[in-house]
Amino acid sequence: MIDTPAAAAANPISQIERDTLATMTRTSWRYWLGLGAAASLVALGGWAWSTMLRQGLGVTGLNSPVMWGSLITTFVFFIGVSHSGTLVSAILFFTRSPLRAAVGRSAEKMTLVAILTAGLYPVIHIGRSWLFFFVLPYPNQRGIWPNFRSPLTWDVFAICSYVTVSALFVYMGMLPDLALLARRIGGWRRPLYRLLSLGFSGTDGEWCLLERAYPIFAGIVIPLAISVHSVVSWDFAMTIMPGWHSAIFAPYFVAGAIFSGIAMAILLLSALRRGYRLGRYIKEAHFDLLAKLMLAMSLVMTFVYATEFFMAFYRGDSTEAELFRWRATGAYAPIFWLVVLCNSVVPLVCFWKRARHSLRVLVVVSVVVTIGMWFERFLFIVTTLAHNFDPFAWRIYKPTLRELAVCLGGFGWFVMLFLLLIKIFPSMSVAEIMEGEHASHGEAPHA
Amino acid sequence: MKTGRRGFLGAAVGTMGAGLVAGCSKRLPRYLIPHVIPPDDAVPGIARHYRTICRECPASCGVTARVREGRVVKLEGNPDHPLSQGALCPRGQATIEGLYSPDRLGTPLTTTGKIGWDAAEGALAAGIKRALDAQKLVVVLTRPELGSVGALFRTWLTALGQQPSQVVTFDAMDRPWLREGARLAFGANANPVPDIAAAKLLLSIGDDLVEEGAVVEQARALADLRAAGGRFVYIGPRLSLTAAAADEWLSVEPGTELLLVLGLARRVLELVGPDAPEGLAVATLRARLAPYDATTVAARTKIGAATLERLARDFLRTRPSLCLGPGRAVAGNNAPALAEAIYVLNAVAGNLQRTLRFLPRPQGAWAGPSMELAELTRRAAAGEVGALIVHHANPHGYGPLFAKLAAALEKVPFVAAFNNQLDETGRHAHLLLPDHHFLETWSDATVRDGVTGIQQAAMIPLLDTRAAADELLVAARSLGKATGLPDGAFGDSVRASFDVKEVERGGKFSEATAASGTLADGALAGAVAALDLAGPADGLPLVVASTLRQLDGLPPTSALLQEMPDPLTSISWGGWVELHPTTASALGVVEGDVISLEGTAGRTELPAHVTIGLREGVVAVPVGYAIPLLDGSPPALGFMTRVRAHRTGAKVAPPHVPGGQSQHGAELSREVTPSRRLPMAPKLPSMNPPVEHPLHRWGLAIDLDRCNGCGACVAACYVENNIPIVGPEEVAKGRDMSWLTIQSFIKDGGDGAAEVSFLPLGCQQCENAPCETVCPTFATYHTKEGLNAQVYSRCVGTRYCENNCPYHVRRFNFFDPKHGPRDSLGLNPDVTVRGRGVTEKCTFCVQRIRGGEEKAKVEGRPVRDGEIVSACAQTCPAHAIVFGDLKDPTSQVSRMAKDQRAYRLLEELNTKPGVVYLARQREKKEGT
Amino acid sequence: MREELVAVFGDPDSAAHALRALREDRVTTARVLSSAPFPAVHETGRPGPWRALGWIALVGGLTGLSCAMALEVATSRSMDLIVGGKPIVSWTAFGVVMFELTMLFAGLSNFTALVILSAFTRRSVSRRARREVTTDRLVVVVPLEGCSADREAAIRRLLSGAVEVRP
Repeated sequence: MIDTPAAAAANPISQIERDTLATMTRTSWRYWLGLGAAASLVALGGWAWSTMLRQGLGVTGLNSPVMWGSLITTFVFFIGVSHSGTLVSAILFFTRSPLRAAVGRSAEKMTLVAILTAGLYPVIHIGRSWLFFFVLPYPNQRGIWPNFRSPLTWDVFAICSYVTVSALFVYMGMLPDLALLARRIGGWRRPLYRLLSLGFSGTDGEWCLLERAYPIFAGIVIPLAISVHSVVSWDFAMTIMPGWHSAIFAPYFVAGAIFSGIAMAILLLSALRRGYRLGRYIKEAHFDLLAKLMLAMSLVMTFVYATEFFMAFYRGDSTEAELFRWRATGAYAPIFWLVVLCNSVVPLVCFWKRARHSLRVLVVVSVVVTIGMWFERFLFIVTTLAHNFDPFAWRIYKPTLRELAVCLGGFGWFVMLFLLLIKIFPSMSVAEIMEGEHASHGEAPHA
Repeated sequence: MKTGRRGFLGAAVGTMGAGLVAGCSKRLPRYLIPHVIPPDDAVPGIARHYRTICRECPASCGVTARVREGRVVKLEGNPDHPLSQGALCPRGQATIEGLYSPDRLGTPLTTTGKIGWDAAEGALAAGIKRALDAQKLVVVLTRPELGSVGALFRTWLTALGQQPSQVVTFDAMDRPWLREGARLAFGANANPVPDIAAAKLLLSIGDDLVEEGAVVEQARALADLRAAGGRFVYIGPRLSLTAAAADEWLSVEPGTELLLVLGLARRVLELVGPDAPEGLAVATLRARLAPYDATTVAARTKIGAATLERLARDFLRTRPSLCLGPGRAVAGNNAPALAEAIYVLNAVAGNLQRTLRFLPRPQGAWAGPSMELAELTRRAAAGEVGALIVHHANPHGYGPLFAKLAAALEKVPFVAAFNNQLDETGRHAHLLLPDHHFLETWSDATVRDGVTGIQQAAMIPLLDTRAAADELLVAARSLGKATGLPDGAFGDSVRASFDVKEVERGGKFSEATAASGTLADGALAGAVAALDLAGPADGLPLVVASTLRQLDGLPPTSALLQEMPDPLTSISWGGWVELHPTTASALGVVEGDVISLEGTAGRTELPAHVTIGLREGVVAVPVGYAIPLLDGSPPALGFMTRVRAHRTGAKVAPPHVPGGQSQHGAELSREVTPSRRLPMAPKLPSMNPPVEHPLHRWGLAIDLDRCNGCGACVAACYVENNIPIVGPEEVAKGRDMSWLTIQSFIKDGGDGAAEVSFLPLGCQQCENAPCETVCPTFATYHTKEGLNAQVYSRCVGTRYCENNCPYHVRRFNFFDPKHGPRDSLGLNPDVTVRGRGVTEKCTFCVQRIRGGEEKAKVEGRPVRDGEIVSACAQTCPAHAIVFGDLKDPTSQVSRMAKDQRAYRLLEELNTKPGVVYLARQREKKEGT
Repeated sequence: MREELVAVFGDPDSAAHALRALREDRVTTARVLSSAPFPAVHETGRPGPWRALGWIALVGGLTGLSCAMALEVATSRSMDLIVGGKPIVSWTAFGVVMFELTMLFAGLSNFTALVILSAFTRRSVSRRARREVTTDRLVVVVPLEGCSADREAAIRRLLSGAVEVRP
């Protein structure tokens, strides 16, 4: 679709252009396969949810006292995934890292998609989904406002702001590209881009504004990102339940979030690189960095696990001690040890340079970590509920197939949205790549 | 032809009129909405109360029926009735289900099918006439009818020219050995009535006071006894509710209870020495008790000689003492002898006239000699019975237990059955006549001398049913044999026989006069036979466990009673067999294994429940599920037999108690001993200002020392608050909706005797409620009166509150709620029916609180203490639960809150609950 | 149409070179358009009201903070329900939402400011010139109001590095 290909072919910069726009211009059968698979997962999940709506939450495995299960697990998991994208991108930006140009955009998109996925689950899991708007603050004839003392209300605000801000963050970074696309890409997308580019035309004045606005925005995004996951962690930490009611939760969740986010980022980036032969832009160096970050986070998680157990037994609170004893040895012990294996042991391979530089190894590790983190969320949610103050009320929870179908639907939804996004918006910042390329050519007299 | 407007209108009116005419019938129509023209004094929305009696079991407690818009919505104990004194048992609470059950019969049935009432009356008269013409007997087989109806049967039989004694009482749960024992010990017309509350030491020989007989009265008496510092020792193979309420639970070698009692009697007689109660033939007794010296008895009963000595000494020292029994759990074919021995023991210890009073047998037209079941069986088998009127009796339902009788009844040419529902006997009857429910008809019952309860029709009959008594009268009249019978409707004659005051009180209650009674010379003359158990020699002795849910000895049919878990095992929906861990391991059985039990009578399969609340080497089965194993040589229902037990290999989900009924160190249900007081409540700082309660702070006090875990409160809560019934599968998943659960924790109290502690757990109505803070929609909040309110319409079902409730008392509607039989008509109109996806929980019966407050307001006075009572507190037979205003220092609840035994659950969490528990008192165990 | 010179450059460096030359010749009104923020962009200094952005974001943030406060306090007062024994207005609990809204408003105002201010700055460059710029072409625009022919010629000379120069 890029016009005058012959002229462009000679020119290195429009070669870049072609590559960076490749995700949008080239559509292989693999793409359609992936999209189809994702869409069918969404359909499955949708059907499963419809049964929940029609018959009631009884179709799940929930019971008293385990009132939260796999659905909330998935919610927390995707909040986690959403976390690192924006954060990584913003941090790379501030550290002026040359690596950002290639991966930043995809990371931000992942954030956006993940938060859009996570946002579904609170609505899905409540008993009367059709009344979810009761928690929104708007003047209504019921004369009822949300309870601002409830962590769930905090959640609503945190997630809504996060969606908005991270969406704008991607958008702002994309303005120049959209302006470009409005010229380059034809077909149904052209008017869209013309509209979205908001008339950006690359005058020096606009560039100066953008270069000022962007860091400010990045500065806003980072604390927001951290706050979102802290708030989600407070859904648990603000209760009085043993194993939840702990000051370590906010940092613990943030670390876990970045951990799972990095894993997911590695998966998506490697897919992009493989699928669109972007090896030239998404380099070993990127994966090396991500792998190091993942390793660091894995170590943090290990530390947190250890701390939790230490505190539980050190404090001498019998209920909590009993809970953690049970977590490691009780009905959910297999999951516990699986989590330890996935999150604390396997990532250690990233200590080896060769492992960090082998994409195959990294992909495997990332998959392992993703699984590990999902079960980690499952573990701390369920064990606490299943085994706390009143022994008479202790009970085991097993998710039903329909429940799991809804969770899978979430993953399908995640992948589907991402695939659509890369088709509609460039996965790399053309402007930044070009700038980077130019700088790397060396002959910039006053760089 | 073309119909004009006028023509059409005319036609319409005409057809309407026709419809009206056709609609009229000389019979009482079935009202879908009662009171199309309401009585002047019936105000919609205002409850009316009728005093009547509960006929669920022969105890016939007095109840108050709450009627809304012509429907009985709840039964509560009649405070004026000496038996109930305001309380009611779970079964009585569940009565409503039977009243509104869809299985109730609305039309007469013959073997061929439904028929009209006229035909049915014709058939009844014809059947009786054939019997009379053939010179055969007409017999009435009825449930215990201790009043007008019983009397009518006799006069009716007389009018037919039959013997009044041809009224046969059928009561599967009867304990004839008690009467027999009394006859042996005291002679013919003795009617010993224990005065439990008066005793300082109660020794129960397997007598499950909380589960058998007049449970409401006995439970209260037991609680009073212990509250007054009395001691209660239970001797029986199984840790029943009664045993759980005891200070000490002992068990002896099954079947040797008789030896134990005789041994005790002998020792007591020795100890009492010269000052033996007068009128006691000491010498004869000595001689007769001689063989039962301590060593022999201790050896046979496997109870320590020291324990035996201690029991004997205590029984004498702490007088007045009282020994009761035998209960069903220990009643074998030597039960009459055992009962006799027990009476002797009391006599020797000088308890007669003090804790064991003699009342004259209740008199009345209904009393007098009557045919025994055995005789009926014989004569029916011999073909002497020409017509049998079965009145709410179901011998066919008890399988092998009454097989002989059932078989004999097959030979009767005409069997007419009066009942509410179609039961086994009904299926074998030639004519089935639907009777009114007891809440729809008049009668009365004299349960003992001086206590006559009036059964008042509390509502218009729901279906096209008719009173059995009226039908008998109709039959007699049509046969022209109505001499001496009331001419009007039977109900009117009953009503006429009481004055308004009595009807308002619910009966005639006069102080019982104690007559004298002494031990007969023949006491203990009979040869004492050690119990020999029938059945396979290699089998295990079978303990037939009485439970409140099966007062008639049949598995419960009420959805509520089945959903309500058994307090001891927390098993709901279905039966089980209890095994001691050692027995279980010997059989290679674990919790939940399906076990096949086979005795001489038959076999059955039940899931195993392994518990230390049972003696080693025996198996225990709830009476309703033991029926297939029991054969019918009276006295019925006891240690009749041994059963062979082996596992079938099948498994069911074990009854759900994940904590294994252990508190795991969590001090929820606490205990105090004379040496060990409760620790001081922690003084916890708070960041928040104290919560203000301007007018009231409603609270609940639960005395765990009085509570016996019977579960009446749970049943009352279900009925009062329209709590959904979810069914076995959902209960197994842990989705029961009960707002109030009886948690039972069982532990080894040392020397092998298990101890159970109960914890009735509902919403604690916390001041700093964790559940409130987390709700995003204000669906739950703290009211000015200290209630933890739940606003269903605001709830979106995040279930966050349930996660954050340390007591786990909040319930979630996973599906659209169902309420069993009550769904149609029997729901409480004062309480919202919650929808799917909504959280609910105990509200302290806020509707009752509001009702009370409004009443007080209208009368322009402050609310009186005890005027407002939650359903659980209202019905508690042991008066263990007290509701009231914690803000008013003079109220009973706040006085209890200041008690030394008072504590609140999980106080260290600083939730400041509005429910106060009083710790269970246990005594230091003396070494045995 | 406006009097101006539109010089199209093939690569950033030549454009930067030309701009430097212009600046030495005291031509300060030149504008440069590019598809990426090359160094050349900054040869002309940092035009536009970009300094305002920080303050706008700050103001936006404060607005968000006060909105949150108002919302929480007002609604809680209007409901006036005690939950968990907490005071009706419990600041500790309200802090979170305040923070979130502060950030949200700051972000929104920052973005809106960017959009509006950009629209203003770009008005100083003619539409024609804006159409010229692509990924591989930078455009330098020199307005020629009231400047003599030889002056124009001089400027054209300074723009000699351009691929083409149009009036």
